[in-house]
Amino acid sequence: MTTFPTLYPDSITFDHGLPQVSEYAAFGVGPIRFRNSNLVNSQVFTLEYQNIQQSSVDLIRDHYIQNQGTAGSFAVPSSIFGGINLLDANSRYKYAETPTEQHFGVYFSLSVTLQALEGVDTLSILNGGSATLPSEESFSSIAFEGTAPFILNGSSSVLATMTLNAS
Amino acid sequence: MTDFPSLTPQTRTYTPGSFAVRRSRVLSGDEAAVRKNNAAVGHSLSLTFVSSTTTVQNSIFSHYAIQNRFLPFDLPSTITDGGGLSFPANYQWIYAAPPEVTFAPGNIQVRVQLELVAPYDI
Repeated sequence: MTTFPTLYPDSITFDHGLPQVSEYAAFGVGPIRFRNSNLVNSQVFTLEYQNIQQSSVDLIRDHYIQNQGTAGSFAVPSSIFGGINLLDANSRYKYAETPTEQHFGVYFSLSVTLQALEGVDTLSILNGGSATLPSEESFSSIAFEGTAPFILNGSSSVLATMTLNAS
Repeated sequence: MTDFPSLTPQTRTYTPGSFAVRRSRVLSGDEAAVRKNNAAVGHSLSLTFVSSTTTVQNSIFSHYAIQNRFLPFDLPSTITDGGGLSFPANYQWIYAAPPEVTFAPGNIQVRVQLELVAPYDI
């Protein structure tokens, strides 16, 4: 798997992807929705590069060819997305379409559209971290709402051990 | 075969070719892709020529009148200078669309869209 060149775009446009949900409906029944994975995928990022040099254009052009166009998947350095922090570091991407170059004498502008294959994991993870066990107090709240499973992650810390009391 | 006129464009937009790929999404949201050929096709160039006279316009339209979308042709180096572009050997260009002209006194803009095609015999 290749890695997208570390070139910082001038602007980024993106959407928040789609959950992998299919829907069943029949006469008098439904709609019934099935969640097929925990991931929200297919986020589409449009990276705009303005007034870059030919050497930078060559990097993306070569990567596009090396990646077999829109066929292959690749990693994208998270630094390219700046502070968006939308997807996991191990997410994979594909070219959604062929990049388009604009040539203006010495400088070039470039538009690249990427599509995430592995997006955001929607599992709810409660991490106890390193907190010490607090004193007991009355508590009443609906902790979870949505689609199971929810994972309680007590981590490896002794102080953060999680106790589930069935009584 | 007549080469494209030796003109220097004011702007140039290049879209590299792409491979024929069948992309199939699975239930998890991942995608399986099957590439169906080894050659990238569909390279395209959009060129804009700006001139104060009709000389450029006339040379392009004279060329288009002969070549149209039927006869492929080569590009002179003036068209691709400074772009670092390379194309598959023996591939040639055809007009993707008729040239368009925006005419104002003293400022004539001609827009040309070209498409790279695999070699074929006529």
